[in-house]
Amino acid sequence: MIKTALIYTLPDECSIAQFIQRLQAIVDLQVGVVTEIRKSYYDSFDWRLYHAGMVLEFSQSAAGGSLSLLNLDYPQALMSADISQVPVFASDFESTDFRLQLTPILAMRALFEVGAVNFSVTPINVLNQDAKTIFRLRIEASKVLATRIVIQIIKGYDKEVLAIINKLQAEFDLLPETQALFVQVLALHAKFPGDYQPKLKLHFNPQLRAVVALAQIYKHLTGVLQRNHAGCIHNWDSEFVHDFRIAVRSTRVGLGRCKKIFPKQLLAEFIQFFSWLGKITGPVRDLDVYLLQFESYQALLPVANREHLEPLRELLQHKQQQAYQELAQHLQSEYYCDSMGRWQAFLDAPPSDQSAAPQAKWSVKQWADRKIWKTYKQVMNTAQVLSSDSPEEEWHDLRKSMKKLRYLIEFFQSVYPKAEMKQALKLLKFWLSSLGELQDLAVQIQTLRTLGEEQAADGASSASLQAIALLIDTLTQRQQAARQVLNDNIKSFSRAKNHRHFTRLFAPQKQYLSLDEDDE
Amino acid sequence: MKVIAVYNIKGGVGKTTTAVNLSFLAALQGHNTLLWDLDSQAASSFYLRIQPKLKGGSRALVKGKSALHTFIKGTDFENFDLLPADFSARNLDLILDDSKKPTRRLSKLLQPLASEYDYIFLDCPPGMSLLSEAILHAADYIVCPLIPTTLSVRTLTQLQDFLNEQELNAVNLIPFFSMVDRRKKMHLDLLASLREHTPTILNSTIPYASDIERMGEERNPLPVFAGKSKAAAAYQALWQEIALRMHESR
Repeated sequence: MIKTALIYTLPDECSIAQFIQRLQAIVDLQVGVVTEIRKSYYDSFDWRLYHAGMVLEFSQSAAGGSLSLLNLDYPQALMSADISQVPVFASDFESTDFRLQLTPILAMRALFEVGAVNFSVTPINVLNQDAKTIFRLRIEASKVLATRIVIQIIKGYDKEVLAIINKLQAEFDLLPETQALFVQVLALHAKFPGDYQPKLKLHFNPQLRAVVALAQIYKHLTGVLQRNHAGCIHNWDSEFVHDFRIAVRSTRVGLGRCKKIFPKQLLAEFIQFFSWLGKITGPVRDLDVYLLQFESYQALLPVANREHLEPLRELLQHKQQQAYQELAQHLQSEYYCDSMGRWQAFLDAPPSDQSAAPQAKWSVKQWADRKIWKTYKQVMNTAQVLSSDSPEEEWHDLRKSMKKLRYLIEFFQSVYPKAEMKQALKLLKFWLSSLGELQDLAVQIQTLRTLGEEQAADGASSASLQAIALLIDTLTQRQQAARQVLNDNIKSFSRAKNHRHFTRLFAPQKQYLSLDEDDE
Repeated sequence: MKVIAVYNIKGGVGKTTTAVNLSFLAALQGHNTLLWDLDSQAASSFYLRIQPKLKGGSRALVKGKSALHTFIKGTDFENFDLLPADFSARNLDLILDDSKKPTRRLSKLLQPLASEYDYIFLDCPPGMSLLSEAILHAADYIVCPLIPTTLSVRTLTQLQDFLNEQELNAVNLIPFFSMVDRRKKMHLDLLASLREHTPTILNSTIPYASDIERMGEERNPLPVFAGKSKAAAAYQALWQEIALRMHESR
């Protein structure tokens, strides 16, 4: 049943006792017992519910807890359930309604309390001449927010109630609440919904100095690293490491192209640091992916074999725990803290102090043209020599080059025409997805072989080993099919139409071509 | 949505108190519940302090001039709404007779409410009429209160015969004993012998209790003002048994 409410704020000069007293003079009341309620709000770290126009509100009192999924546009509960604790993941919800609604939005992301406030709530029933409640009124008082008057209209009494409400508004100078309680509570915690944005959405003036733009890009990426640092250490959910790694890789790609504008020694140190970060987060991410995909692995097997993969899941979970422990040690190590501190100090230093090289004076457009074009040529060179006989490593090299190209394009997309950049990125994403599938399958098959051997040595049942062998067979067939698709299509990437598109966008003016030949 | 008619051909068997208390208990469990007071005496509406008045009278409702939900009133309790009775409901038979397919009319009126309510209880007037037929066609379950007297029990057979006659075999008839006075030997004897002959009669019984009579004075469902009474516990047990019977019959 959809419940609508009208919410007002009580002026500071009117106390609750005065309000009730004056209200009694207008209508018959039944005043209930004051209860203490804690209202807390839940969303994922990346605000998935907020972006979907919703939020979870959890009300706790001595009588128990109640969870409501609220629509942010108007104070409406889409669904509610009595619950003692908010589950961490959407899949953990006992209520089918909540599970079905939240799973597609939250997917693998955990729920966190994003803000809370305590209220003393006075419930009041407003009665008619038959002593029938015609609307409910709740006075919600807190120490940190204005007192709220929440009016719940009862079905069928709208007309007589609205007349009373109009009278109340005039009598008490009630002001309709203009900001959702959720937003008010978050502001108390100095939080703003939607404030985590891992994707680069920086807008540069094409004439801005490249070093200034790069510093902004690195600062954004460093911010992403810091926001995800605790989540990686505590393994709150798999996406902390995911976002952390993307920020690490993007930073590495950028640094690899800064040899002429950043001090050599410092650059080498930072490249080594980010390379180390990539290395220490790799095992955790691989294990996260295996576990996230586990149900789809099981779905690849005949029904009778699926349960026999469970020992593999347990092994993966055990390894995942170990890997997270190691990662937590690394991310709290002296080396991490020192290096991150030095990196941040470097980013905070004025750009003019960093290099006097000619490239340091380039505009962001000149720099982006040059670096993107060079990386594009590397991709083309690799793609053109690939054939059905090429070894896996060469396909992997193509993927790495394409990823670099994608990151660079994402860094600087604001200085190019939006529609054309979208087209270039779409093409790259398609190819990266195909190449990624091939590479992931190769790694998965190899890992499954190793884990299978490990399980065999530990005396696993023949049914479990058979299930792993079946899975390897299925994945190998998929790998062959994926390889065939790539063989058939690789030439299409370098076809004239695409080449013209990239040339038009990125081919730089000739005077800059000889200036950075020794860059990566 | 499950439609539960609280019905007996005989009057004064505790239909309204049953309908009000069962609807209240269903709502208390968190089920969105509507009680439709179909009796022109409007006792359910009275118990819930809601004026027995429909805009345009029962004719407007049955003829579908306004959507059914515009007549619904919220009770004082969460998840619990009432479609009040109206004095004009005494003419419901005539109004229905004037409609196309009169026995299907109630069922059609209820359809739009399917997404909003988990349970719709129908508090039915006694007697056998066109309205009764329409109710029996609309209901998924008929909860039938029986006083342990020979005459009251005879009505159960009549009702079963009528359902067979109308080929309403899919409707589940759920009889139970109401207003049971355990001090009366005749009540106890009838309870025992009827249970033997009619195993579908529920085990739960509602006692003859002054607390139930107080509902008219308190104008509230029994658990609200006498939550710890034996009668309230009996209604609770009755609702649990009915819910189980409904679950088993799915």
